[in-house]
Amino acid sequence: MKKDEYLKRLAGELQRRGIKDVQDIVAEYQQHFAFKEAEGVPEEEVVAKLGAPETLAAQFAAEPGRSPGGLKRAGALAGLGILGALSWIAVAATWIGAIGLLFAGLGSLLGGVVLAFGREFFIQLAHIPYMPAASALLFGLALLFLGLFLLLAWRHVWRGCIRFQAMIGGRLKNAIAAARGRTEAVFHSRRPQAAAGSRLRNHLMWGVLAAFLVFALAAMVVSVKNAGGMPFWHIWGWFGYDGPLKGV
Amino acid sequence: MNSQYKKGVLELCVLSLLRRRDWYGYEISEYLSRHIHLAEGTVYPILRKLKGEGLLTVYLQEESGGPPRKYYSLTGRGWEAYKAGRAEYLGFARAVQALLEEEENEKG
Repeated sequence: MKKDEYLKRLAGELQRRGIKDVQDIVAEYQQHFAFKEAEGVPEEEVVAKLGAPETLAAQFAAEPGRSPGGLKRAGALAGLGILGALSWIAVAATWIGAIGLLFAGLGSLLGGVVLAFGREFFIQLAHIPYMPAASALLFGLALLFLGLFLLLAWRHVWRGCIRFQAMIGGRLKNAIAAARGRTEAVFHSRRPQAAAGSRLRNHLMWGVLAAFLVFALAAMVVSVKNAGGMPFWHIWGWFGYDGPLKGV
Repeated sequence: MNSQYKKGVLELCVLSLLRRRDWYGYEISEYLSRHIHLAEGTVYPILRKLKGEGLLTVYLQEESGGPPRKYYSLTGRGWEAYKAGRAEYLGFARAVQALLEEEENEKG
């Protein structure tokens, strides 16, 4: 007997016994043939070793498969619909968060460059509050590093979003299939292995965060010294405060 | 060997393999048929039965160059069933062995 005839007979025997998911079962045997074929085993030999289709079908029949009743199934599917909608809202929220983070990072980077290196030029285009040159340079550098950190962190968040969506999608697909009484296939996504460059990038990310903290702290110290007290932003009349230097 | 009897033992063997890691159906069939004389096709009804009893879960995993493989994974209940089945089998096997050896001693 060859493969096709064997599978046909198996399907017939399974159907005759009223067994569910005949296609699923036959597909598993089909794969068995495929694996054997890859090893170069002739079809007749595979058939001989598998056992008679009647015997196998009887073994499947000995096991009553569970199937949720129609009403229960409908309820489960409705529940899954709501769960699914909520899950996709969560997925959308993570994407929106990730996009927000991207823009925050770009904004900080741009703002930092302007403040540190282009204050004289941009002061004509945009309102930049008064501060001494040293403060501007330090605050600018701090912002620049903050932007870099956000962008480096964004890479992780973005990948996390992709994984999260794949996970939610896979779980839902599986749950819906199970509720319909079909296969219970969870689509597992293998965790991507950390690339060689990714550890270096991680170090870089934390280094950049440290640089932000250092520059931010230095900017505060220099500003406090320059303004001659705290809070220097009041003294320099930022945020609408009427400081002694308002309008300078 | 009595096929009904063997089937119960094969269930235990499958659980024992899955205790270590997740396996796909063909892999289990190959491994067991190398160690135990059996019709290779019988592994699939056993897997299905164990899945139906909630002792295993199934997931598909994409493989490079080929259809996705159906992997089987032991559940908490499967683990409990394995522990209980193992103790039961070993106790039974020990008793049978003692009985059979007793018979040999009588002869000798």
